[in-house]
Amino acid sequence: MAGGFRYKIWDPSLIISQIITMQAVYYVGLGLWVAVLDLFTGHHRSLDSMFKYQELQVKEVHGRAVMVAFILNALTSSLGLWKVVQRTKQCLDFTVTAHILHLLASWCYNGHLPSQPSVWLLHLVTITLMCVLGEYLCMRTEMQYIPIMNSKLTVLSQHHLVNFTHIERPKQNIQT
Amino acid sequence: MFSLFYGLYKYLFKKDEFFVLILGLDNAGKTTYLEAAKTKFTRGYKGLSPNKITTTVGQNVGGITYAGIKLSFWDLGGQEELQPLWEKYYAECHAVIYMVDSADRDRMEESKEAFDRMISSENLTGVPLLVLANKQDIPDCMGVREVKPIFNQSAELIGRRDCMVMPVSALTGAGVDEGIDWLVECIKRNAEVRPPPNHDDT
Repeated sequence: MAGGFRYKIWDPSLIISQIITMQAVYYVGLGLWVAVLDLFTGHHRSLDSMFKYQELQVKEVHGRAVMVAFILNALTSSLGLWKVVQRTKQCLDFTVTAHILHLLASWCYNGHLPSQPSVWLLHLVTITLMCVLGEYLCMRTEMQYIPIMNSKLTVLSQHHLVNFTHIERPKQNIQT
Repeated sequence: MFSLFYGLYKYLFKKDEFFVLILGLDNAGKTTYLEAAKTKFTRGYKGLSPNKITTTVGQNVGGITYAGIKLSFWDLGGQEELQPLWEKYYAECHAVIYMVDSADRDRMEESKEAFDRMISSENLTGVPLLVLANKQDIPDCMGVREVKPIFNQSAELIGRRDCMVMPVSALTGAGVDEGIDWLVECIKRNAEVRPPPNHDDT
């Protein structure tokens, strides 16, 4: 088939590489936010802030800073969702995947699953934020008109209606 | 990850899909046969009562899952005006069922002519053919012994393919099972020559 954009219905290599990219985006973002907030609170930077459950608490300044870092990371990761995944209906899937992989990593780091409800609550909030924002951004792109190049008319076709796949918008507008 | 595992599940348990054309003159009983086949092979299917079945303009499509494959039946209208449309479907089909009204002796010639035209098409080479002598429940109908020699005259046109003539009664449902059993065997045997569509799509 000419074009070659996702003509297979199930593409495992694409999905796996998207999962890896999303995880990388998540951790790069988290690391950056924790580093920035640690700069403000004066706390010594270490991997503990990202992975140790004990760090997440509302009482201490540092704990609150780490929680804020997670929330901000959800926002930046949703940008990653927008650019890497680009499909509204897959946003929830990738959000939950990223959080499951983070849970597994924290489990290995801590040796046990989190027992404090605050950790679970925080991650629920970040999942919701990341998913909803990602879906909003993807939907905005998908709802844009697809310009048909060989006529002056812009056909009222919207990305997400085209066979449930979407045609990538051309990088530059070619004037006819 | 969900889409990964779900796709894997669908890929592993995917059944091959084949298309079967049901052709024949108008009033041969094609739509009734389709309903009978669906009733027999689909659990809990409430078939259309035969007196509600009218002449088909266009086509009727019905699907059954049987013997590990999915069959899609395309029942095309048999009126003379609609017969030129049959050839559009030949390239994509994997088997042909040709219905003959055994009680209608006057139109047997007409049926044979339509059959000849159909079978000479290049797009149908090697495709299994099942000729069904329908309406066996009517007392004064032609049996297989009378229908078979009529269609055997086109033996050169039929050429090398799996071919069978069977008696059937679409109203009572007699003979439907054996016909489809035989057809499924032939389709599977012929799967290399005519593979199921979308072979590399996962």
